[in-house]
Amino acid sequence: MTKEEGAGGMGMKAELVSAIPALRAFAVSLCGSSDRADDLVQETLVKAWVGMNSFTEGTNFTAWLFTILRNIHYSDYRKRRRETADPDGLLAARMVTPAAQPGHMDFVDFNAALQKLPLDQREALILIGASGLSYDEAAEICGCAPGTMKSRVNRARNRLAELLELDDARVGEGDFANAGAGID
Amino acid sequence: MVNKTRNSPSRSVVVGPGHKEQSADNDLLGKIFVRRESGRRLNLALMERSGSAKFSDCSSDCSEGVQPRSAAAGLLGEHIGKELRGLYAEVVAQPVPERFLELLNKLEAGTIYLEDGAPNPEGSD
Repeated sequence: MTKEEGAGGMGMKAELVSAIPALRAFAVSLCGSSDRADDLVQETLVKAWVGMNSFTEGTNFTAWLFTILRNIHYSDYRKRRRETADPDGLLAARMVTPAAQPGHMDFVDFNAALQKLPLDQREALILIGASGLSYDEAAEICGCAPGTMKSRVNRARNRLAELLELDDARVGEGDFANAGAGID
Repeated sequence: MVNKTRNSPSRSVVVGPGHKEQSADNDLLGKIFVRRESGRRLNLALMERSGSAKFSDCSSDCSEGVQPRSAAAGLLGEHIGKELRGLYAEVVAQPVPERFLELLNKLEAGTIYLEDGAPNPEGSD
């Protein structure tokens, strides 16, 4: 692909601009921090621009960008874990800055719970459950078999369900309490 | 009594033959707690009140608060899916930050280059 043509013939720059919202959403879900997410997106854009020749025409451009972003995140994640001597990622899981959503307490709880999942499960859940990619595309991004992707999604859902159960008191004070408040 | 129960770490309300006393309060919160065979609680706050009532009817047929796991898991699964899509859509809906447009302009103009030591982009896929 050339800079002029882009993935869909509309120019590389335009293609990248249109992919930025999805990239940011993937990055935020992956790392839990908006600031870190935007740094990740910035690095991804630079690498995509320079490495656009490695994009295969006719394949999913967004999926290609997700692969780049994921690789950067993994590389940083491993580096950070070494630096903080946090082999289980426990510290990293606590270093979450939930997006402030007044009136959406449950949203914050959910984001916090999401960040407690192991990275491979978290990304599987996001790619399949939110980004709209297929199992095959998600598996290619993560470099695993579609079956592995399915089992990661299942494990992620189960783990998240456990975490949200433990958190039920706060869930009760959130959206669902509001939902029931008008019913006397 | 209910409040005391709610603040206790081992709190749980068994939905079954004797659940009527708590049901009004639980309905206020739009949720019920049930105890499963494993002894772990399952929060069913993940549904609207109408769904809650329906579920309550169902569980009253079950002996001593034993809950059908599949129905409960389905509700939790729905909740997770909804939250996940909400989190994602929230960010997707935001305008593209100016810093990215400036970055792409610079890349297009060839006025910025990869820093020394930056990973080879060819190896990024």
